[in-house]
This record gives sequence, C-alpha cells and structure tokens, in this order.
Amino acid sequence: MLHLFYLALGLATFAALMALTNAVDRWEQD
Amino acid sequence: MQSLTASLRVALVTIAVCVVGYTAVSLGVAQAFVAHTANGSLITAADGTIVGSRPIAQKFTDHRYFWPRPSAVDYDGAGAGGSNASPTSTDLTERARSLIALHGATPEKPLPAELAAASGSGLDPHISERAALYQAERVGKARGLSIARIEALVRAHTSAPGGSLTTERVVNVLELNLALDADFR
Amino acid sequence: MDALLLATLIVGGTALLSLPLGRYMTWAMDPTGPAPRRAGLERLFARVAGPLGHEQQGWKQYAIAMLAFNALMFVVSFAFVALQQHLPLNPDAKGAVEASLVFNTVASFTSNTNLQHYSGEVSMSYLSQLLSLMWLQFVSAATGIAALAALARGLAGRPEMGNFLVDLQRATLLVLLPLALIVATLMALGGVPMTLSGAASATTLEGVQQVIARGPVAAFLAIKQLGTNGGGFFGPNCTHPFENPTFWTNGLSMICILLVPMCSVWMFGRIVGRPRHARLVFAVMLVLLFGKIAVAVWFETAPTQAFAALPEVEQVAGNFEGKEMRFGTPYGSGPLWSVLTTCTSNGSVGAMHDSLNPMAGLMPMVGMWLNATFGGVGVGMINMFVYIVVAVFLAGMMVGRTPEYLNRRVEAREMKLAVLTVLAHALFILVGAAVFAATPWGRDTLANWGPHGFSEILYEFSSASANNGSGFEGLGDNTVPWNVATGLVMLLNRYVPILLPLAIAGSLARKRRTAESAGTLGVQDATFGAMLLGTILLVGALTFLPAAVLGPIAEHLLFAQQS
Repeated sequence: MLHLFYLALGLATFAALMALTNAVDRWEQD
Repeated sequence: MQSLTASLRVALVTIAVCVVGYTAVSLGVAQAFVAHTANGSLITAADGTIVGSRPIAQKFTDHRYFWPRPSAVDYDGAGAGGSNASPTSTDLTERARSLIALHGATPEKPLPAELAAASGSGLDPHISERAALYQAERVGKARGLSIARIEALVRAHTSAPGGSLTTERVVNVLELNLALDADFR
Repeated sequence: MDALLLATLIVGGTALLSLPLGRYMTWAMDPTGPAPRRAGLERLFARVAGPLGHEQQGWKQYAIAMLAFNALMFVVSFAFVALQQHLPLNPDAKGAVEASLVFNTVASFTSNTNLQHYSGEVSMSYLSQLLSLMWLQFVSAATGIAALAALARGLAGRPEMGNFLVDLQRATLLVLLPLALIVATLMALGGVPMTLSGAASATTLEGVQQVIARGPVAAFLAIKQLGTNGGGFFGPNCTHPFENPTFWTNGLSMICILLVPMCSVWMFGRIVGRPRHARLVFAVMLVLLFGKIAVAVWFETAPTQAFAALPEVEQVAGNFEGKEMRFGTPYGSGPLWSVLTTCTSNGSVGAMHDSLNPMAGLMPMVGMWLNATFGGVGVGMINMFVYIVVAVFLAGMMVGRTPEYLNRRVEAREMKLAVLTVLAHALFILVGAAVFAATPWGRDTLANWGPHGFSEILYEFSSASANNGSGFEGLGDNTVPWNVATGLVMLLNRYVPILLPLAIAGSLARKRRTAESAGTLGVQDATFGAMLLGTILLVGALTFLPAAVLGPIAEHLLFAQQS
C-alpha cells in the first residue's frame, strides 16, 4: 500500500539522520 | 531493542497524561464553567432551532438586514478561509467593484475599506461602527424606519473590542440583525 | 501609534514574564543540588525510561536516543492518522487522508513545524487532532527543550549531556503540561470552544443552512502556541473566531508564542553559568525583533493596492484583506503576530500572510531565514549558538586572537560544523524554491502570478526548512510533490541543526579549559553584541538577499510604481 511506502520514507529519513550522527562522530574522533 | 521499549513507555506515559488527562481536565473545566461558549456560543430561536453562532458570521443579502464583510468561503462554517489574494491582485479589484455596486457606493459616499476586503477566516462577525452606520440608510428604507432610530440601535450595540487599547468600535452583525428583528417587527 | 504600543506591551510583558518562568524552566530541566521534593519524580522518570534511564549520555548517544524517540513519534502518529476513518472520536465522519498528505502532516508535526496542507475542520477527525497531532505538539516541543538543555550542559563543561528520555519527560510534564493547562483554561474562559460534540447545524436568519464546525479547540490551542507548534485546529488558524474570539485571547496567544522561546535563553544562560551573556543574547534578539516589527507595521499601513484606483472605496490607513476586525487596526496585530510567529518558528497566523503588503510579507520570511530571534522552543537558542560560534570565530580572526567561547577554543572542526548547519538551512530553501519555481511542481500551484507567486514558493520552503509552518496559503500545496518535498525538508532541517550543534558542544567539551586572560574576547559586552548582530545580518543578507529581491522586493517596487 502507498501508506506503507510513505511510512518507510519517513523511517528511512530517520535512519539517514542516525547514519549522519555516526559519521560526524567518527569524523570528530580523528 | 531496549531503547525501543523505553521510548514506547515514555510515549505511552505522555499520551496518557498529555492527551487523555489534559483533554479530560480541559473539557471538564470548560463544560463546567463556560458551557455556552465551550459548545460554540450557539444562538437558539424561541422555538429552539439554532439560528447561528454569535462569533461566526453568516450570510446576509436582504436589504432589510445589515451585511457583514465579504467572505472568500461564502460563510461556510465547516470550511473557513481567506482569499489569500495578493493585495495587488485584480481579483480583489473585481470583487470590490461588485461590492461597490451592491452597496451603492459613490465617490461622495465611499465604501468603508473593510466592507470591500474579505476577512482572514471568512467568518468575521464584526464590522466597524462606521460601516454599520453607512448601511443604516439602506436598512431604514427597506424596513420603513427612520434612519435616526436605526442609528440609535447601531450605537447601542457597538463595543470596543480591546477596551481602551483599540480605537475603533465594532458591531457584531448577527447580534445587530437579531436586535433589528426583535425590536422592530 | 497604538500598533507599536501593542507590540511593546506584548513583547515587554512576555519578557518580564519570562524571567521567573525561565528560572522555573531551568529548575525543571536541570535540577542541581539537593531537591528532596523532586527526588520521587526523578526516580519515576528514570523508571519509565527503563534500565537506560540512569545512563548519562554523551552527545552521540543523546542524539541517537532523540532520533529513536522521534522516529517512534512519527510511526505512532502516522498509524492513527492513516486509520482515522476506522477509529472512534470522529463525530463528523471524516474520511481517509490521502497517503502523501499523511506523510506530510505527520512529518510536519513530528518536526515541530505544523505545516498544514489540509484544513483541520475539513479533513481531520477529533481523534487525529488530539491523539496524533496534539500529542506531537507536546513531545516535539519537549524534544527541542531537551536538546537545548543537553547542549547547555555540554558547554558548561559537564562530562555528560544528560539522558534524553528523562529530559523529555521533564520538559513535557513539568514545563509544557502545567503551562498548557493554565492557558487552555484561560482560553476556554475567553470563549474558545472545548467540546467533543460534532459540528452544529444552524438555519440562518435568512433561512440558509450553515454547518458550524467546533471541537476540543482550547486544549489544542494552548499547546500549539506554547510549544511554538503553530498548527491550527481550523484552517484559517487564529483568524477563526473560534480559535481566537477576542482581542484578549489574541494577546494571550501572542504572549504564548514568545514565552517559552524567551525562557529558553534564560535557561541556557543559567545552565552554562553565564547570566550576563544570556542577557546580551536576549538584547540582540530584541533588537532584531523590534526592527522587524517596525518595518512590518510601517508597510502594512498602506491601504490595499487593489482598491487604489477605486474612488468608491475609502482609502484609509491599513490593508484590511485577510484581517479580522476584533483585533484592532489592520496594521497593528496582524503584522505584529506575523513577525512573532515567524521569528519563533511558531507558524500560527492572526492574519493571512498571502495578503500582506509585500514588504510587510518580507518580514516573516526574514524571521524564518534567520530563525534565531528567539526561534523555536529550545532550538532557537541552539540556532543562535551556531551564529555565536561563527561570530566568535570571525571576531577572533579580525583581531588576530584564537577564537574561544566559554573557555574552549573554537577551531576549524567546530567552524566546519557551524557553517554546515547554516548552509543546510540555506540550501534547503534556495534549491527547493529554485526547483519548484522552474518546474510545474511549483508553477501550477500558484494563486498569484509574478513576483508574488515566486514569494509563495520561496515562503513555503523557508517555512518548511525553518520548521515554521505558516504559509502564503494561496499556494495549492496539497500535491504529492509539495507534500514529499516539504515533508523531507522539514524532517531533515529539524534534526540536522540539532545534531551538528550537539556535535560542536561535544567537540568543545573534550578540549582543555583555557584560562580567562586579559586577551580573552568577552561574549557579554556591547562590542560582542554588535559583532553578533552584524554576523547574523551578514550571513542572512548574503544568503537570502537575491531571493528576497526576486520576490517581495520586486513586488514592492511594482507596487510603489503603480501608486
């Protein structure tokens, strides 16, 4: 269903933000 | 997983308190102390039918009534809104022209500005005292009453919306029309 | 002029109110020292937050916890809105909400934006409004307050930034809830409806049927304003007589819009232990605020241009289109509210922004572009922190000293993160507006042509990126492209400007404390204030001036040419 696509889109955005957080943290540690 | 269940618990607690509890308390207080306005300030006629809501404008086209400000949503109480027209829009000019014709405005007797402009909600119940007095002649003629009596009625129903912080007095058009019907059969 | 008197009363009054309330908010969010009455509550918060509740988090764990909880907020609310037609508390039998609109709405309320591509009384059931949207209004605002507390603790030099789930409960239950209860009661007493009954049906004096929508408005309204959410129960927001019945509820709403953002500055100052610095920041914000108010009010005194060529309409001061009579002069409350709501990322409206005179309509945009003149609850001060880092860096470069803020050196790493934060906001707005202005995605949805049409598109992306939520509502924005684009922008530019500053604070906290010396650049005197003001204006002007010229300024020049 289309609704599930949009739900997934939102979750994907949050996942990307978590990945960004991890990336910034790794970058900072160097 | 641990953090998911923790988040769920916090979500449940906040829903219980801030949605269920908060709504219930607000509802209880409102219905207990100000039930009339809490339920929409509905005005009922002598026979019990609802004729409108005091803060919500309704449509008036009859010459025997005062007319409120124009509404971009035709006074739809279930779908309110403004025109969202840019102040330079030709749509506004066209609408103003038809209102000028409707009110019979002339350069010598110009239409008060708010009667040409739609309100933000489309349900603005007020017009300025001046705008009401502007319509007194038409209403008087239609009802066969002297302008002086109409003007007196208008003045009796004006209020200062912000006390001494506002300069212009306003009139609730629906209230005024109800008074018209009540006082002058 | 009574418009400026009103502005002074509202802003000044709220500032005074924010002093004791800021102190209370600090106590609520950051209890230090023995507090026996509070210990029971704190244990409860920790227990609800589970085994992780006692954990003190560094910036990364705090950020991840915040994202995880906000993702849950998104999922839960999505479910309730998407299924509203099958759920109870739907007296007016509202149907299903279209999928992309569900996405946009839930993303919007999760990100504290409250951009509404729908009209509340037309599309949403009471359950959706209360359980999804109003709940999000509480917890999204609390997220912002928590993030600021964490940032401040990091800058104060504490080893850890706190615990997100505990902070969230503190902000929701100790700060927002009590205030909301008080305000909801006051609003109900002021005439705002509060009922679970469905719409009323009336037969007007002329015999016409008028359906009058109502609902649990007072409760919704209170947290909408206090949490700088801004989403209206009704479509026309606070121009609707039920959402804003009197001059007094109008004033109360404006106070609520500004209140917690102002308190956030005080809370920041207290936690980092620099009250004078906080006062300076507050003063800089006030200067910008009053500047915008003055410009907006001044330009809104011009009468509606569309009537200029009509001698049959009175040419009086003020543009009445989109305004309500009960709030006073059209150049008073309307433009004042428009500035307050956009400098605080609130987004509720007391007049239709699409109908404001062009330069008066520019002020809301400026507020959103800067997004730090008090800004959203919690996050406004975080945005200001980013400007401070940039200002400190610039000042240090100018005088040839190592830049430092609160006894930590500000170096390339922190600057990169700060610049990235500023750039993100700018890119989302400008690239988004460019794409939609150049394609049918935007062009086909305009209500007004010419520069004003461009303004509508520019405004929409500014509003999404700044998490504001107001709009030039002539724009036909309930389309799949608009819903998806603004939905993504709202989410991304909600969390990126929280994550990166938290990372900056984390990075600063790891450094050695530098001792104050005679050469240290102070951050609490007028010189720094001027520097900060200049930095904000420079960054804002350079980034957004071209867009402003294409939209509101061009429209104003056309406007002025015709008269």
